[in-house]
Amino acid sequence: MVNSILKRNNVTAFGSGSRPMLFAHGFGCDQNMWRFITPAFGDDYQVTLFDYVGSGKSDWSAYDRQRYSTLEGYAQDLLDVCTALDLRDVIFVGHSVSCIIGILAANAAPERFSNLILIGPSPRYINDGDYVGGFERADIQGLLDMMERNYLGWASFLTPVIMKNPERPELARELKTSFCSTDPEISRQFAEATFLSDNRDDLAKVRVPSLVMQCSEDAIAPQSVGEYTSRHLPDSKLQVMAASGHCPHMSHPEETIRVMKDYLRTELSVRRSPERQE
Amino acid sequence: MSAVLDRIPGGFLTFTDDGHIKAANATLCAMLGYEPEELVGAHVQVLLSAGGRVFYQTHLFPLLKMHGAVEEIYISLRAKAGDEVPFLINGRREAVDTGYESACLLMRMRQRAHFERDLLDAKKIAQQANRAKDEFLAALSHELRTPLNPVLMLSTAMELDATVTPEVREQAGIIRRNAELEARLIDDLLDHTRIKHGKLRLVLGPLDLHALLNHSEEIVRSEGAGKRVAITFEKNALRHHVHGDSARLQQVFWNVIKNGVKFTPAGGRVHVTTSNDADGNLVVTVADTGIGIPLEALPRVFNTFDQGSVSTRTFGGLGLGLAISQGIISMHEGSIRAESEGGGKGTTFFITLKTIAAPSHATATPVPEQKKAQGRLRLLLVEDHQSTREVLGTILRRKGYEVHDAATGEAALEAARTVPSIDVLLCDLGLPDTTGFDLIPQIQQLHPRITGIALSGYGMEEDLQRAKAAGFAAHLVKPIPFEQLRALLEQLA
Repeated sequence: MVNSILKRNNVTAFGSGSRPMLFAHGFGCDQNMWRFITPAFGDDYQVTLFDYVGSGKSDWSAYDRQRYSTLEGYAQDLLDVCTALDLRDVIFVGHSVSCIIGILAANAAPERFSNLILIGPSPRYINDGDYVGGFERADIQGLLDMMERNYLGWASFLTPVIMKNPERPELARELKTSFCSTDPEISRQFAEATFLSDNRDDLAKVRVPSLVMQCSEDAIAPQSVGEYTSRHLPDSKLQVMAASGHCPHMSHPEETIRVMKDYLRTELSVRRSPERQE
Repeated sequence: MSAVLDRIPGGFLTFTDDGHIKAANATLCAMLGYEPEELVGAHVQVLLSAGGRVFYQTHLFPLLKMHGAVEEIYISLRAKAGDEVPFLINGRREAVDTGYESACLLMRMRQRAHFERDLLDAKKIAQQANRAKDEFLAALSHELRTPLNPVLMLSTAMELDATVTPEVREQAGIIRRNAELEARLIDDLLDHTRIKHGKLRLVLGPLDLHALLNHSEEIVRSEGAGKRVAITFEKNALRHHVHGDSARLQQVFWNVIKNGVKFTPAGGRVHVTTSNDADGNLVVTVADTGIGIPLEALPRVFNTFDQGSVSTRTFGGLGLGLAISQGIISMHEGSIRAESEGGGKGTTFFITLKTIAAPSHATATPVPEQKKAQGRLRLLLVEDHQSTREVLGTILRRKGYEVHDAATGEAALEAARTVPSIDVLLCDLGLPDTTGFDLIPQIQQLHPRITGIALSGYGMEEDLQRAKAAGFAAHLVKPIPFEQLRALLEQLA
């Protein structure tokens, strides 16, 4: 059972610390997206990464249309990984949709989590009355159309000739086989679960302290959404970053690492109660 | 922007990792209705629709960042006037003096976008139709098979009934054999659709392939004798244990051997050998002296519904056997291929499977051990299909068992409460108001010493493990092989 989960979700781990940090990737990607960030935490933490079923190098045959039609199904993946490795006091780091997935998991099993670091969260992408999510339903249809044309069509997500990758040439070959390669049906369902869900009511139920990392000029989760999220999460801090865009862990890894470390330094020194000291 | 780039008949755009536009050529500006100064310094998202912005953040930018390049990405851009213009993008991200920039070439695709949409729609319709066909086939097979169960059971009962004349028993045997033949054809259809959709589940374990072939030998020998084709075996492999599904591998060997018999004229031979290749794999060859396969048809022998040529219609069957065999062998990470020197020169099939070390002691299927008190066994038969329930009840009563039957879970519980002691629960797993998995623990509460035998539809391998976990001691697949059921019951009696 344990082994099958580790294989199913392509779980990888490294690091010499004892405190577990669990990184969860966003929609369209896989655990590779974290590789600019995780090396900075290996000395002090036990870093664990995984791919959701249907992403990256997970076992795609484990994909169940029913289970993964909602974000709760993905949250179960996360909990399965926590259970398989018996992770406790987890510092969870999620990007984009994984923020909500992490929140759902933390609400289902609060005892496993100590902190949530949420990069670019949005509890609701679609505008709804006074709430501004940033999108209309038709916009999401446009996204689905674009994905469909690229997946079912003739796009080479996996460029046949990997051009020179100045930063990490040794990774190019490995990356092309997994990153963003995905099944159109799975991807569509994940997009629908992500962009059409409404998780605003789940925010207030969170019992774990959290940090919301908000990029400036984020076209997917605008600042007002980050503020909304932080305001509705009990015990949450909001950090607006100089980084722009929606993927600061890829575009601005240095600032991302700094913000995370600053937060963890204050959090862990303030919160560490004597009986939890290791 | 160089004058050359401004004049090329395609868009050119560069932007930083932050998404700020560094340059846009005149062609792109003209296609989208902007002045160059309006775009330089702006964020790429001014050029994107709302959906396009998400696509950029979740696909395009991560790909540029992680791969360094993208090719042939379809994206819809927004012109200044608000209309959407479809483009095909090739892009590359490279270091420049100030950091990193991505340079993209953008081809507008007005006509092409339309017919690509049409093609995609046509593809989707075709895929849906194909799925519908498979679902129909699966449903049809199920519906065709269900009424065969009572035919098979009744004819078996009649064949075994000492009170009827030998002539009638012989006729019952003919009915049974033909019903079995039909059931097998339907099973092939079911197997085929399930393999195609990845729904077939293997029940894997250590297996002695030689023992499995001995068993095949007994069964196929009669087939060969009927047609006067000699079937010979030569088992030379030193390593002959594999990790596999015994029932499924048996099915493959039957298929391939029977296939050889089918295409070999009377007086011919089908020769089965085993050996180990240089890598220690087990190689089973099945060579016949039959009609052979023309060279041009060899690549197609594993295709569905393909028997080489139309003239083979005379050989009967659906042409699914080899396709199913290939599916099962590849699920075992093995390979199957055919060789033939052409028409009239026979065919040889090669099946290669990975071997494992021989297990230290033979692993046999555990059988329920406890012996019941003397006297008639009391059975509770729970089955919602009326004919199956009636026929099975009739046969079992005729064999001397005391049978109580129920069509639903509720009726079964009622019977369990009123009948003082029940020895065996024979239970269909799919019931109208519950499942056998849920029912058995409730019955066990009332009759702690009861032995459960699960009955389920053909090929529901996934049920096997669950049935065991739920507390069933054995599992039979419909149509219930009566001899097997009787053997099980005799062990209990």
